[in-house]
Amino acid sequence: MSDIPEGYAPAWNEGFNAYVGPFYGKARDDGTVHFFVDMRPEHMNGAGFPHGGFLMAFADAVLGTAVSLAVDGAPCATMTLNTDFVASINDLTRLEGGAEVTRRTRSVVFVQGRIFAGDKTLLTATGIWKVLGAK
Amino acid sequence: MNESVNADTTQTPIPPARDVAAPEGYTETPLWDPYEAFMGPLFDKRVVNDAGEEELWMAFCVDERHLNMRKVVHGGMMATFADATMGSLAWNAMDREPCVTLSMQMNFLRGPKAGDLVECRASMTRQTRSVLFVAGDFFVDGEPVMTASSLWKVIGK
Repeated sequence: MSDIPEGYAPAWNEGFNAYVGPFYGKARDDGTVHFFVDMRPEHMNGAGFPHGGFLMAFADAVLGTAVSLAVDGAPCATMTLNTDFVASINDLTRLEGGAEVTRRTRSVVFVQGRIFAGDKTLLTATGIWKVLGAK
Repeated sequence: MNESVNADTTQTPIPPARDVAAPEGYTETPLWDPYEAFMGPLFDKRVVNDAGEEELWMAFCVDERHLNMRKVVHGGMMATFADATMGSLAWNAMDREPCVTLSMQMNFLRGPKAGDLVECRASMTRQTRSVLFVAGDFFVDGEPVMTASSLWKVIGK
């Protein structure tokens, strides 16, 4: 069993997140979020590296949670997500993710984050989320 | 039945986590990545467009594994499908040399729902010796649901 540090809980743990994750997350006092996921064989590509789709999915969950905190849980949807694959790692290890909101307007939220393993950054991401129903 | 774009008779593909009938015109795609089998099956077809060019189309059928809490397809699943389809085009264009995603940009236009067939038309924007620029247009019932552009690197070149 994985080791779950205190204060972390499975985020949005239904459907995709429950099936692919769980993605464990924690909100920090400064409004940023910190996440982790323990990689399993089904997260990998044929070459033994984490699949790019898995890394982007984890990033979407991490950035989306930072957005949700910034809008006090109002429903939001990803409008755009930009990801750069900086490095990879051929090991079934714990991946971490962090994200912070860079700007919040009434109807959109700008967010950035990264996925990392130890001190190695694997993926950097920026995105814009829509606050549903807000103009 | 058309042969899948990713067919390889020298290996046994990884069976997908679910059994889903191929949509009309599509062939089930042999999957070589455990993660794609976990989220699959995927389907593909090649069609010749009005300009006489061959296009690669891929598809997946949305089920509850793919949904977020709002009951639309999770952005991460759309990203997963984008990586699989656009990567297939890149990998085949490079004579199946190993390729990695360098960058992926996605605009989410609409959220597909359970039971929808999400289709992607992948196209090569530019191909150099070591880098490929691949675009993807995603549809449900002919309506755009996502656009994506990506950059791929051939390992070692």
